[in-house]
This record gives sequence, C-alpha cells and structure tokens, in this order.
Amino acid sequence: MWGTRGTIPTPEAENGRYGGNTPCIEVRSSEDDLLILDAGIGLHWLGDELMMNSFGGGEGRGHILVSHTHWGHIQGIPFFLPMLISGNRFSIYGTGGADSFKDLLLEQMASYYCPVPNFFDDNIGALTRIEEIDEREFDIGSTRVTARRVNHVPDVVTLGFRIEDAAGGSLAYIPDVEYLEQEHRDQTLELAAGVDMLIHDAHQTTDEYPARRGRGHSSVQDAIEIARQAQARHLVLFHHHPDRSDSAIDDLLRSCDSVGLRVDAAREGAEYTL
Amino acid sequence: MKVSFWGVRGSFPVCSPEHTRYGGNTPCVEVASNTESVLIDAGTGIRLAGKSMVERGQKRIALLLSHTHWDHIQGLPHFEPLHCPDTKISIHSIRRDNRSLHDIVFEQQRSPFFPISLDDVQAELTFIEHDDGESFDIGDIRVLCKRLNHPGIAAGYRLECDGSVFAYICDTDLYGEKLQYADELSDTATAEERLACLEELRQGARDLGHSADLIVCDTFFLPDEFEPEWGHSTPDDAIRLATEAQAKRVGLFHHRPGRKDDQLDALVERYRKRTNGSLEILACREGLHLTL
Repeated sequence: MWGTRGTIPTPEAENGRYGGNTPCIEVRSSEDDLLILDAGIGLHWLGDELMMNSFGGGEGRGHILVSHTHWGHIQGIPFFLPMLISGNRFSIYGTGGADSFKDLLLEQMASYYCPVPNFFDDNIGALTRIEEIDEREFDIGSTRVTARRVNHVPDVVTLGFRIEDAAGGSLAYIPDVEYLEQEHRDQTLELAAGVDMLIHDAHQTTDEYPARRGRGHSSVQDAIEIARQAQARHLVLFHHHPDRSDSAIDDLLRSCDSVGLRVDAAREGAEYTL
Repeated sequence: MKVSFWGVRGSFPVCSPEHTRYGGNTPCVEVASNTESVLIDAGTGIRLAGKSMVERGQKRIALLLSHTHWDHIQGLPHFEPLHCPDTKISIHSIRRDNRSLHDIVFEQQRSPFFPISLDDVQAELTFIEHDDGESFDIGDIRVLCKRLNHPGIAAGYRLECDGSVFAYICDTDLYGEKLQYADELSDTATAEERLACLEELRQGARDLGHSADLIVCDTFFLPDEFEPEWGHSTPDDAIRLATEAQAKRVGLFHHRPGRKDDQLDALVERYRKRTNGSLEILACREGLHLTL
C-alpha cells in the first residue's frame, strides 16, 4: 500500500504511521503482472521503487486502474517518473463519465497547472494507452478484472474493481462509496462476494456518518456490514479522513475488535499475500 | 508584522517520517499585521492555515497566488473559510494573458475533479489580477507585485507594514540564463533583447527584496542539481539576491521533495559557515512563526 489517505495528502507527523499519501495500491499477480489501483500521490513513491528495476531501463509494463477522477485519485500521475522513460508501456483504465477520460487526465497536465511534459504524447517518455472503460470484465496477465459502477457522488462516475488471480487470490477495491439504496449495496456485493480481501471506504466513523450523509462516503459500520454480507475474509478500512490521526485510527480499529471479522486499517507500507 | 509558515515544500506534498520536522505540505505562508491577514499561495499547507483562521474568527482574508501550478493552488478546495458565512476572500495574482485567474481556480474545483463547486461555497470570493510592478493595499499592508522567471506566469510579492518588509520570491530561476517566457517574445527578438528581459526580471526580484527584513526564496535546487528548464533557484542564488538587495535575512523555501530533514539541517549549516555571519540564513519549516 503506497497511499491510504482520502481527499488530500496530510503530511503532518500525527498521521505518519498510517500515512498521508492519497490512494495508490500496487498489486502483483502470480505471473508478476503489475496492476496499480488509483494514482494518488502514493504513485510517486511507487514510481521511485519501480525505477530501481525494469522500469528504470525502459523495459517495464504496468496497468493503472483509476476508480474516478477526483484529484486525490489522479494527482500522482504528473510525478510518476516511469512515465518519463521511453520504452516503458502503461495502460490507464478509467471513465470520465460524460467527459472523455483522456481529456480529464490531459487537463491535469495543462501548462497553467503543471510544468512537466505531457507524457501521454507518444513522442515523449513511455508509451501510454488511455482506455475508457465502464462496467466491464477483462484480463490483465494472469488476472481477471471486473469493473462495476458504485455509488459515490452524483458529479462523477465511480468504479469499483474485483481482481482475481488464475492461481488463486482475490480482492475487491472500493475506495469511495456510499449506500443510500439497496441497489448500491448490491453493486458492492457483486464485486466483493467471497473475496480474500475487501479494501473499502471508511472515510467516516459510525458516529460522524449521520451528519455527513449524502457526501459520498461510507462509515466504518457500513464497511463491516457489507464485508459480512459479501463473506469477505478480510476487511481493510481505507480512504482515511484527512483529520483522522494515527491514534484516532487506532481507536477506530479497537472498536472493531468484537465484530467477528478480520479487520485492518490500511497503512502505508503494508504488504499482504493473498 | 508576523509571518507564519504553513507549508514549505515544493512540487508535491511529501508524507514521510524523514520530512516531518521541516514539513511536507506544499507552500502557504501567512503574513499578519495588527488588523489584516494575508496568505501567500494555496498549497496543501492552506488546509492547516484555514483551520487556524476559523478558530481565530478571521472573516476577511486576502490570498496572493504566486502562480497556478498545482503545488501552489491544490489546497484551496480544502480551505475551511470557504465554507464559512460572512467571510470575504479576495484572491490575487499577476495578470494573465490568456486565461483568467477566476477560470483557472474554478476549473480546479469543478466536477468531476472535486465535488463542491466554488459557486456553492458560503464565502464571498473576488478575483483581482495585478499588473507587473503594481502596488496595492490590503488594509494597512502595502503589496508590490513583480513578475518572476518561471514557466508560464509567476509573480513575487513584497509586503510592508508596521515598518517591516517581507518578500516572497518563489518560484523563479533568479540568475539562470534561460528566459522562461521567451515564447511570448516576438520571434525577431535578439539575444540582447532576451538578456535585457532577464536582467529586468532580476532587477524586479531585487526591488521586491530591497532592504527586506526577510526574503523567502525558492531554493529547490542545489548547484549540482540545477536544471535550466525548470525555473528554480539554488541557495547560492538566494544568498546572492539577499546580498544584492541588502536584505537582513534569507529563508530557504520550496524544498525539493527528496530533501530530508537531516539533509536540510546540514545544508543550512554549510551555507551559514560559508557566509560567515554576513547574512542570517534559515531554512523555512512548517509551524515556524516569526515576528519581523
């Protein structure tokens, strides 16, 4: 896990253990295919590590799955060094809803916002293919990816992902979701059914949620209930609120002690084998 | 005059235990007189500044933007005073040729990039663009705006009040030989004309920092890292500027993301030894409050 924080990077010391980088998760398949879930600022640090192996020599291949285009989920792209190295190849999958996904990513790189070269141009840096997807199943190496719409806020089409490896191991990644109707729960349940790990939005505490209903995020209680219903084996609380300090996240985890389910809070630097 | 540093990091926010002493938030500096509060730049540090201003009941805020690259505006959507009633926020920048400040800032916060549009915030917003060399007043604070040498359009600011002077000179390549906005000069401009333009920008920086109590200066690069295309300076440049402008103190600022706390400690020590006390040098860090 390279980034676990919701909305905006929070570098303050009291967030140091769980981390302040916005969402980015590295997934390696049994065949060593590289899948990257979301492109928050955590992507920069993953990039630094990738530069030490085949990506530094321009021989890397990676797939970036973007849940949606809110800044916290794409802001790492301009600072992802492997994209500046020619020979590397990337595919970026996501949806722009009514807009073009590619145009939205390009807007972030517009010269008045961003002085780095537009490396989506085939003549600069890596060969980058931007693929507009919606609800869809497709294969990346030894993995099968299922993308489904989930309910976040009305202004942005948001995807959740299920990833299953042919050699075993499965996870669901649903970083931003709110359940206002049964249909919204059903969308997640399809993605998360029986997975080894469910990485799920826990932006609000159960107490905070009522006052923030309608803002597009789940409570810890929502995450626990959906994990139980989906019979996920392991729940990882994700997308921590910017004001949630390490000690507040510790407290939150303790409150999950008796739920009869393995629960972790996503922590930068954590590694799991499924 | 009080100066508070809420964010000092350049390029992008750095969340790492090795960066917490100087801080990982992108630029935001607060300058306060007895009656006014002015923020300079809206990097992620402005999130912390906003919380503090709400606690202090600050209802009138001026925000001066050096330029609109991400690291200088990315915190604005998370600035709590935007969501406070009876609050007036004026956002200032140097005049832009092609795209208005209003449009650039609104676009940052439009759907599907951020869920709350600036049209829906409670504070009253005004956008004001200033000419190169223009002076204006924010209450009892006198501000001078001068163009800097950075890709696109960037400005530095000189703020004067209570008999003290503070200069914010970031982002810029102070003494490099590349004119960062050469594209806008006519194709027929001679090398001499470009050099004259560069010298004019350097003189502008000296004007901003003239006799200042503190110059806060872009020191993204060390001399052996310098990249002429990027539009940033080194501590050597900052010291040269402060000396030429006869400033009392210079603050190294806009630290490169890779620069760790220990490296910054060593760096500032090295430059202090080199200048041998002729100029006071400090490395700006988050949470630092100075009275000038």
